Amino acid sequence: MSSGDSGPSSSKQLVQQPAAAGRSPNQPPLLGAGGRKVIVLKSGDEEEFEVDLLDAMQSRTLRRAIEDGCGDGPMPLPNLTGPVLAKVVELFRRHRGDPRWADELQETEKEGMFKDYAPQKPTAEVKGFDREFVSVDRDALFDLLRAANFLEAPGLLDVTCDAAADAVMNMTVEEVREYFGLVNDYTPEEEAALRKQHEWAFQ
Amino acid sequence: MAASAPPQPPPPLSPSSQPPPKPSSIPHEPSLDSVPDDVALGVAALLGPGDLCSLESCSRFWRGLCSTDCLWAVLSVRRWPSVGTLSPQSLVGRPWPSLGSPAPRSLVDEGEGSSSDSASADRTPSFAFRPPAQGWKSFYISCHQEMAARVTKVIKFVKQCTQNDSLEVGDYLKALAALHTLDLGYDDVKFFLLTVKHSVLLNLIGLHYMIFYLRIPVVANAESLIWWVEGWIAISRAQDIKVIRALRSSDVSGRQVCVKWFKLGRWFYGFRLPDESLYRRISLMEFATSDKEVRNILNRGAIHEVLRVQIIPVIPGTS
Repeated sequence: MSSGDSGPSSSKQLVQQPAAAGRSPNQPPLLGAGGRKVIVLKSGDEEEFEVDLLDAMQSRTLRRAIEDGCGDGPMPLPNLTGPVLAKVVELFRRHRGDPRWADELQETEKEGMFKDYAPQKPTAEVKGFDREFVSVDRDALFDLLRAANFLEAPGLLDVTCDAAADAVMNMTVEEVREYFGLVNDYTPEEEAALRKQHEWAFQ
Repeated sequence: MAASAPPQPPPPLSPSSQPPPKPSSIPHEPSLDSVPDDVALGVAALLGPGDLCSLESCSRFWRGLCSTDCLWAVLSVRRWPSVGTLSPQSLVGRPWPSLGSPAPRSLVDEGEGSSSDSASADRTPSFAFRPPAQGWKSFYISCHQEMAARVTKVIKFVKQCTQNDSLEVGDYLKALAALHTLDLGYDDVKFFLLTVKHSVLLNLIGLHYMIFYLRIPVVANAESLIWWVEGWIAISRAQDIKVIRALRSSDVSGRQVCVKWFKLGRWFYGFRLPDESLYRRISLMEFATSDKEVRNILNRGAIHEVLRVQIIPVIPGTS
């Protein structure tokens, strides 16, 4: 079992019901019925987080791993750091039942496991959480974007892409370059030509 | 176009088919170039045309990504919904259904029935693009420019009618009707009329058009919708923000107009009350949100007891 100490307090709440009995080491977690199950995610810097099994299913990557029976021991996610993973785990918990992914989950439903995961409209609370979630600095946001992509978690991806798009909205080319850390590989002539070509959008 | 640059990246670059030219392989370099293509595309898909163009000018990789046809197909359909009687996905990569429909309905002046092939070709020559499988961006641009040309006519008309800086409500309403005939949408109004480069009168016309013609409800009206199903209220709230967001993002919300109206005195038990000459000075934000009276006066025009309504821009710094 994991320490869970380093994780956010929220992940501890989830552990309450299943405790040790919920997870027998030899049984693939997906096949268990009743009782919440947790899996343990291990970040690149060796921090461990407990996450409700069904919450983890929001990530297609994790779902594949779980379905392949890798959910028993701590699941190593070397390219995610502890703080990022902590945030992600928290988002999964808050997005429980989010239609952005719950629909998909319902389709793959087996043995009524996801019955209490009926899609719900995101509440104002969830939206508030999402806003809070992405009010981080640029580098942290990029970390989250990378995490979203690696985990293939649609909800996480939506929230983070939204934030990145919001950030660059109404920026000038130079500002966008600076924000995204892009290298200008155009020749000055090409750039001038492009600008001319884009005049229509900035009349 | 950079004609002198043969190694141009092909515009409709499929993001998954070609890895981005990552300048360095440092895994956690704080750059979006180190973010996978799918994510980059996801971000791009949330941007509007102006931002996409900015992003496109950033680097070659982004140019390829931002020219992706599906982005512009979605933008086209979102802006001119009639383009997408089919879903955007189904449109991409298919020949346009028929010649009669290349011009989106909203771009055809009036006389829907007469949109025979030749007529629509006459009216909208620039939309005779083919194949659309490749041409969504240029389609979008030509539609945009066509709209611009049409709105320009209205703008000219308003300028002609503006005498001594003031506009009579009759002309004001004519301009609105003209916009309506052109079937302007939200984005068109926002782009062509709600901009700093135009006078506050044109801003006001655009705003008025949004509120009364596009029926985008404003905050003050939200209570009247209270008996609607909850979802509708939610939608109307989202729309409220839309009007206000349009105002804010265009930096014109603080601009002011003075609306003067002259009312004939009413008859009251055999006596005629004195005539009234009233005026109100409001900002565009107030017009959109709080001042329902002025909204209605302008929308009603000079009719019955109201003999004249004038709209005068307030130049900042004057009283």
